[in-house]
Amino acid sequence: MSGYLDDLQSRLVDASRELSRARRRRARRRGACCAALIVLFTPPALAATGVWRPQLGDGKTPAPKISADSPPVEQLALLGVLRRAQTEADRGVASRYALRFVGAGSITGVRTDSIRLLAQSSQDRGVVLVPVERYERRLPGELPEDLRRRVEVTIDDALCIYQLDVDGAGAACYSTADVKAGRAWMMLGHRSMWVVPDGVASVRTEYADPAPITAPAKDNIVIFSAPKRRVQELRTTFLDPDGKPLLVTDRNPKPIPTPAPAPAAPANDVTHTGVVHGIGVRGAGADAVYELQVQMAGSPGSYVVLQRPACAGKRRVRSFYGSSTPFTVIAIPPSFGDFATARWCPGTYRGTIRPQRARKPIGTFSFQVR
Amino acid sequence: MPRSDEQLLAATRRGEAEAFGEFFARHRALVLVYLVRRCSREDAADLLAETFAAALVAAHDGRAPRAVTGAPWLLTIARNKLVDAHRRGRVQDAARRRLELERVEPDYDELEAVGMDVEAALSSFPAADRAALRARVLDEQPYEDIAREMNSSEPAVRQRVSRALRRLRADLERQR
Repeated sequence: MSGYLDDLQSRLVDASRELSRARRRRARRRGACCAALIVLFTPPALAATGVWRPQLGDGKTPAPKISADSPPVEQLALLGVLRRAQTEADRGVASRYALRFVGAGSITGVRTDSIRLLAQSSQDRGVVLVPVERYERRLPGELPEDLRRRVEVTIDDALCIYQLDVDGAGAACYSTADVKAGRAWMMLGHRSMWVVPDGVASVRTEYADPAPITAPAKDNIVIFSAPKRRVQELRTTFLDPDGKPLLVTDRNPKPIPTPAPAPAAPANDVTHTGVVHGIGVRGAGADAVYELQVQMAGSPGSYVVLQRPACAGKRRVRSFYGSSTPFTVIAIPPSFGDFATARWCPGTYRGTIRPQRARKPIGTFSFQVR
Repeated sequence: MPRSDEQLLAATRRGEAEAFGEFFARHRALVLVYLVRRCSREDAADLLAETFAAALVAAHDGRAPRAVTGAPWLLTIARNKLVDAHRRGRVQDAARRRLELERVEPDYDELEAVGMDVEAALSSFPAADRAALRARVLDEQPYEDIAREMNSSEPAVRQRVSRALRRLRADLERQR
């Protein structure tokens, strides 16, 4: 008999052959993998294992590519931490956790072999340096050109810092020039952090009221607890091992007068409570940018958590927000907390503002996108 | 001396692809007759392919039973696939998708001919063996009930079914 059943038989035979081939391939790969693990757990051979390929991103949004390149010579000369060999700690849990926040939306070419764990203590879950080929910050939608110019940035050979916290991570990317000029600074909650070049042994920060704080540098990083109450920083000084000033940065420069942007139009179908005093909107439709008018006295920084409708994909997004002035405006673009989203989808968006480590929110808001 | 089903499935796992072809040729008629009595001929053709695809995957994963005959195992797979198809309202193709097995339009005349071959083979069996085989394999009655109906013991019915299956297999192989 020949026909359908013989045809099915021959297809099953072919499939069986392919399954056997696939099993042999898997066995070969397992063998290669075991060999790689043996090499990996032999400390001196760490550098010989090829480019480190950890998971980048959250697994849901596109991840950036891994780059096998070293940072540029200028960066290697500036930061001793990049010149030392990568250790097991550099590839440890903190770094892998930080890399979950690395997304393809803003970052290109992650230099995984140059990732370094800069600090880890009871107060710091981890501070991780992630050198990348390029960092780009872009605002989606139609926005005023001056706002775009002020906010958008492209940094080649960027040094990105991920400061991990118990419930999130603060991230910022700097250029080599930023580090040289003392501009590589960030703050998460009341933990203040500087990336400093070789030769800087400590950093002194002077405030208007309390005594200055001097913190030591280690692995090109200075990290310390700033006063918890709102205080004005006057200046920061990078000091050499002898305590001599290397660089003084005025932290309270006279503001450059810029024309104040026109106030946003009041948004319709909104609610707000607590520290949120109003909600405005710039633009319209799926590209609009909502603005929360917030009065937040006495809080060094807060998380803004946004619950999105199901059509947006990821339901809960958030971002950390810090301000030195009590009255402020928090912009909520479609990409808020999620760079992969460029446009609003219709539905109700609800949010809360919660100070870091506080249990209860201090303000709530909602707006409707049609 | 033909190899037992256990030997054929073991050879399949070792990488001898043709062994599964032999296993399929040996049991395809029985599985098909079992299926066409319970669903449309279109579904029966799909379920036949899905049953053997699942059996092939299981054989390669080392999940095939170690028994002289694979018929009860295959019929159990076929029954599960059938129940699943009734529940979902369509025949699933998970195993075929895993094997990347493309669907071939069945030749229904050929399938009917297989059914007739089985009936023809069964007609030459002793009446008691034929009744036991029909009741157990095709109608899925418990051995206990069959034994009661036939005024026989359960071990005797098991023996009849086993003997009838062996003979049916041999007869169908001769007809091919």
